[in-house]
Formats: sequence, structure tokens, C-alpha cells
Amino acid sequence: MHDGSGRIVVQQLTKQFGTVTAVQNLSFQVEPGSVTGFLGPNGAGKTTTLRTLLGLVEPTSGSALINGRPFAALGNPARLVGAVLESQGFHPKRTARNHLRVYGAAIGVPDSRVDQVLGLVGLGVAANRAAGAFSLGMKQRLALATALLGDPQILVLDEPANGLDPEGIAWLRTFLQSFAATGRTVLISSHALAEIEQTVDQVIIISNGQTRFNGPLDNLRRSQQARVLVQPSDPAALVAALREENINHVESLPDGRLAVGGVQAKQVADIALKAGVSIYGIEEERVNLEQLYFAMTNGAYAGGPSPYGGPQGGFGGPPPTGQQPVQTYPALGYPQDTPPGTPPQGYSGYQQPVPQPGYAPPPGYPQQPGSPQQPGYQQPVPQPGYPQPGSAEQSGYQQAVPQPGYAQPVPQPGYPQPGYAQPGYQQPGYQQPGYAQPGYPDPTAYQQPGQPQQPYAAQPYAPQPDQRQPEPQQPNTPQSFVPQSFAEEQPTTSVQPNAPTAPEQPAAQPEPPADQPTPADQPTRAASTAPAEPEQSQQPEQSQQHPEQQSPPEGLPQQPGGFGGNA
Amino acid sequence: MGQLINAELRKILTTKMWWALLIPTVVLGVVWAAIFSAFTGTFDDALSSDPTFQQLHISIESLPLAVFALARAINITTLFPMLLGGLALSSEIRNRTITTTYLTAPTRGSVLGAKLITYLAVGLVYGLVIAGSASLGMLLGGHSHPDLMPSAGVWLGILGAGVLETVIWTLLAVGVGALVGNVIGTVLLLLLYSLVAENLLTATMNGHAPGFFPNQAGDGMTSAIASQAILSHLPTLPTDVQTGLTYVIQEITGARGVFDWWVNGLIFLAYLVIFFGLGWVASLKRDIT
Repeated sequence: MHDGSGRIVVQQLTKQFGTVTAVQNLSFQVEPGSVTGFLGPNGAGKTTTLRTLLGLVEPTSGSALINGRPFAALGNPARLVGAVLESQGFHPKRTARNHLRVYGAAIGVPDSRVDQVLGLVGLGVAANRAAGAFSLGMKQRLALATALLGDPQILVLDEPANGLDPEGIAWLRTFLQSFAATGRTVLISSHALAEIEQTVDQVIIISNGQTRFNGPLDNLRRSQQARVLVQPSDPAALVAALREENINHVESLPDGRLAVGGVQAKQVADIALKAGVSIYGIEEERVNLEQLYFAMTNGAYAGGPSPYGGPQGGFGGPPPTGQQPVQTYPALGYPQDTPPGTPPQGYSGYQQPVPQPGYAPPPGYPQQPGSPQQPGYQQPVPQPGYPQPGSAEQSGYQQAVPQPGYAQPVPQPGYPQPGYAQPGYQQPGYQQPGYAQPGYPDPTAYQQPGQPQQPYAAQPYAPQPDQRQPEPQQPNTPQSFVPQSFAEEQPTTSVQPNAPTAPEQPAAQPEPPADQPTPADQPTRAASTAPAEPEQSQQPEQSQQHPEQQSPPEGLPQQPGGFGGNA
Repeated sequence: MGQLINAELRKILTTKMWWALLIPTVVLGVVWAAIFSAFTGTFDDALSSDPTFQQLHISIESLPLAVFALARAINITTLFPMLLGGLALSSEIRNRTITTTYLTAPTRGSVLGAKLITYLAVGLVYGLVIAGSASLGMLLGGHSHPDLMPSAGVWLGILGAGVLETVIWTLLAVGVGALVGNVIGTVLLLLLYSLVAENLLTATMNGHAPGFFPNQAGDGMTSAIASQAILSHLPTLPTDVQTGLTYVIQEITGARGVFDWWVNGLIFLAYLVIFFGLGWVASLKRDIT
């Protein structure tokens, strides 16, 4: 029979419903003794994966095993696996107790167990009421009671927090943690990281049917690197002073501030004081997990070009109306309206704060013609010296989707963080230099500088290469979007004059954390990721609030390339 | 398997459907049989006093005409257990309890096996209830004409065939419900087919052709015994009269085109195997989403 390990192994799982591919080549493993969160946006394939695991759906290919066996070969499965699924229901006229008596009989537990589980989930008083009259939260509790009837070794819960009141959620959290603490396995899905952030130890993030991250939540947390945003009287002097202290992760922001990575605010202030630079404002910016999560999963939102052109941009919020993007983010100057040739206003200033010599865009780099000014486009590194004439590159970028308005202001902050094991991230279109983080598990996913695809690699600014990758191949994702938005925002990143970004990436990549998903997955991810995931979805709000140029901190995170150096 | 059968029994007994359908089963069985039985009494009186009929020298008093009532009442009331069977799996799909059912059973096949056995028992109980209520109705309606009552052998034969018919109908409907996977679709299909569609289909058919259809094969189990019980009491008659009378009697008992009762039983059983098999296969393959 089964091996009793309490381990769940999903390998190369693919499920197609007609022409719709719900899950594609998904692989991950869930270990006993911890609560594993299974995250992804709606439609990412979570439910399908769980149902496949539980034998309710036949996989098109691949396998989902519990204790080394498919569900149908577990013997009396409810003694091993308890499940709370959205697809579960109750006979509306059958009482809670009778419902449990029915399934208790099927599992073969004594009827006394029924009252035990009823008490356990707090439904004792409602035991003799028909389940049809239950609230959503009570139904969830009853479903959980049913799952617990057989005292299983593994619990699988699909969006269990739906309908639960805050107390119920707190109770569930405690319950699941104590359940896992006994060496048992808990796999819990959710579409919102915040919802289960305090419950889970491990996280599996999927988007578009593929794994984007698989590892301890702490790794994800660690990737939230803080930056210090400082408004100096003389940015150039401060940058120089910082460099003397070997602090090279500096970016200039559209609003004139500097973003300094890998340091404490105090350090920056001290250095500024020493250098005789006045500081008008200083703050620490921290990217939260939710933002990281959005960044990893935004691909899913990129269904098609949005009517607005905006949403995908990641501009944050889905603009209510098509035009809004522009309005809202005046600063961006985003191009929707603007003819290609026109440089976004305000932009120019930005981009080129720091002339970087030698920054010759590699040929082939797809810049958009006509938009020379948007060097920023190329993302990460808007360097002044950027001689990209025709912005040929941009075109490459946008390739598929030249959508104005696209401006995704906020690419993902926090990118450059070590330990960032986000496979999805690495999508070619997307990749930002900073991305490559040491912790990165999938080498493949990451595009490494050396890779042919990345035109940039040659150049000092390695970071950009990834993003750029012209390869539009990615089926699902409109890659083009990403780039544009990036570009715009990126201008800010111009900083880091000296820091050779290129090196950074490589470094990061090499250090793929071992824990990450199996090698098998990687190839797929790389592919999948390739489709530029529109970052748009993420942090819409922020962008709105802070038009990039004007806005300070928030805008920052968006700059993909900026931080990359840190790695 | 015992656990799953216990679970299936609890599923049935913890909801009201089983007795909600049992009430009309009993009421309809009694009333239908009583009306038919009373009618045959009246018919018998009228026929006996008819001068033309008297010339045939048929001793009508010896004809067990009340078997019409028995067979007809049984055939109509099997609709209720049929519906109960049809809901066995389709309502689980509708209420989405099928998910939990599959999660708490070793395999889907074991669930279907448990349902097969459980509903066989349910069909048996319903069959006995139907036999009892039809008999009661026949006695109530025909108590003034005791001479129209069938012999004990014919009576028990019809009741036995009726119980068998009920069991097969119940299980066949379980298969249809599993195949269709939808409550409304299953109920409409079963009712429209057995009450309307088949009658229209076979209306113009002659000979034994109607006997090959499922509803006719099922009804024919009791009707064949009933019509034979009457025909066997008829004296030798001219061939054309015999043929015509046989036809009329079969029509009245609802046994048009039937074979012997056991042949009808085998035909009906074949339909059960086909539909339950299809439902089984469909259930194993169906994705529960």
C-alpha cells in the first residue's frame, strides 16, 4: 500500500478541460510536519491540482501521489487524507450529525467520533440542524469536521478561510499549526497570501498552471529587502560619498530622491552628514510579501490586452476607465496617447541622470523606434548615456503588445532579493537584473547573462537583459506589456552609475537554493515564465497614488532593474 | 463494502425522500387496484347480462378478471421506486455530496457497488409494499365479486413478478441517473420515456415487437401472467375469436406484444445490465469539479 510518509508529490501534472489547460506540467512536493500554503490567483489551477490529487479529476498527464500512491490506491483513503474542498456539498435537508454519521459509516469509525469532531469544530450546538440552513462559515466547519472523521495523516484544504469569521480563521490557524506540529501534513490553498501568511511555513506559488515559487515562507520574507529612500540636497555628492563607503546600490528616483539598498537609514544619514550633504527626508521602504506575491503571479492577470491598455501594465490598479491610466499617472506620460516617437515628458530628465558611458544598446535590442527617450524602457537601466537610437529595443519589448498606457509602474519591488526563489519570475520578458537572486532555485529559469538571448549581457548593465528578452514565444503571456511599463518607470533606476550590474546577475543565479523545486520543473518554468508576465496587476494602487515621477517611494519598487545590483 | 452499504442506507434514511415516495406508492397502488377491481366487477355484471355475450357460452364467472387490477396497479406504482433509484447518484452530484462520497470510499467502483446492493434492497422493500398495496386495493374494490379473484398461484405469481419488476426498475434507474448525472435530466428522461415516449414508439408495432422495449418488457412480467390466467380459462373458441380475444385481453392488462413473463424478465434484465454498465463507466470517468 502506501508508504505512510505523509508526503504529497505532484509530478509533471497537466490537466486539460477541453481546450483549456488548467494545469501545465506542475511539479511540487509537500512534506509532513509543516503547513504548506498553495497560492495562486483565481484560475491558476489550484483547485484542479487539489482535485487531481484527491482522485476527483483524472490528470491528462503526470501524476499526483499521496504517500507514494494515487488516491484510488490508498485503501480507505479517508483514514489518510481529509479534504475540505469547494466542490463539497451537503444534502440541504440532512442534519450535520447525520451527514457525519453517513460518512463516518463509510470510513468505518464509530458514531461517537461524530460528536467528537462536531465538538472539535464548534458545531455541537448546530448538530441537529439541517446543513442547508448553515452559513458559509458553518459549512466550512462541517466540511472540516467531515475531513477529520477518519483522523487523517494529511489534510488538504481548498480556500478554507472563505466564509469564516475572524475568530474562525484564527481558530483554523491554530488548529492547522498544531495538527502539523504532530508530524502530519497540511496543504492549504488560497488566492491571497495575506490570508494564510500567518498560518503556513512553506509556500508553493503557482500562476498560469505552473510553479512560481516553492520553498519556506521565510525565504520569501527574507527577500523583502528594505531600501532607504533619501532626499539629499546634493544627490551626486551623496552618491559619491556612498560609493566611498562601498555602497553601490543606489538608484535615483523620478522624484529626485535616491534609493539606497542594503543599508540602514542611520548609515545613510551618517554618511550624508560626513559628506556635508543635507537630508530633507529619509525613510525606509519595505516591500511586503503581498507585493512579491503579486509580482510572481501577475502573469495570470494578463489575459489579454485590456481595453484600457492599462491594467496589464501593472500599473497598478486596473484603471476604471480606459483613459484613466493616462490621467491618473500623468507623470508617466505614458504613451498611450503619445505617438511612438514622442518622448514622454518628464521622462527625459529622469532617465538619464547618470550618463553611463559605453552603454550602447546591443543591436537587436528591441527598442521601440521612435521612443528614444524611453531608455528607461529598457528597463532597469535607464542610463543617460544610453544611446539607443531607435529604441529598437522597445519594440522588441512591446513586441506583442504595444500598448500605451501600459505603463507598469511597478514592476516588482523587492526583486533583487536573495533567496528569491521565484521561478515564475524569471520570465524572459520580465527578468530583471535584480532578480537573479542568490537563492534562486532555478537556474534555468533565470536567464543568465551569458545566455544568448539576452542582448544585454554584453553590456555592463546586465540586469536588463533578462527582461528584454525578445523572445515572444511565450504563449500565454503578453510580454510586451511588461516591458513598456518598465521602461517608463525605470528611468528612475538610472543610478548606479558604476555598479556593473551584469555581474550581479550571474552571481545570483549560481546560487540556486537547493531546496527549490525539482529540476524537472525548471525547464518548464523557464518556458512558462518567458511570457512576460504583466506586472500590471500588482500594486495598482500604489501607482495611482503616486504617479511615478512625483511619487516617491512606491514608485521605486517598481523599478525592476534598480536593485538588481544588490544581489 | 459493508461500511459503504451502511453509509448508503444512512443516506437514504436520513432524508425524507424514501418515505415521501412511499406514500404515493401505497396510495396509488391501493386506489388504482380498487378502482380497476370494482370496474371489472361492474364489467362482469354487464357482460354476463348481455344477450350477445351469452350466446358465446363463456362462463364468465370463472374468469379471474381482477388480475387486471393487480397487474395494472403494480405496473404504475413502480414509477416511484424508479424515481428513487434515479436520484441515487444524480442527487449526490447535484448536492455535491458525491465529492465526499468518493473521498471516503476506496474506489468509485466500490461506491457504485454499494449503491447497487443498497438499492437492490430498497427495490425489494418497495416491491413488497407495492405487492401489498395492490393486493389490498384489489380486495377492497372486488370484495363484492369474490369469484373474480385469481387463484392463489396466479396471485402470488403476479406479486412475485411485480417485486422483481420493481427491483429491476429501481436499479436500472440508478444506472440511468449515473449515466445522465443530472437530477432533472434523469427524472424527465425516466418519466417521459416510460409514460409517453415508449407508448408512442410502439403504438404502430405488431406482434412481439413492443415486448422488446424496456417499459413493456418490465410491465409484461406481471401482465403476461395476468393475461395468461384469463386466457387459460377460456373454452375452446373459433380461432379468429380466440386471436381477437387474446389481443383484447393483452391490451387490457397492459401486456401488448409480450412473451412469457420470464422472457420479459430476461429482456428487462438485459436493459438493467446495459444501463447500469453505462452509468458505471460514466461515473468512473466523470471529473468531479
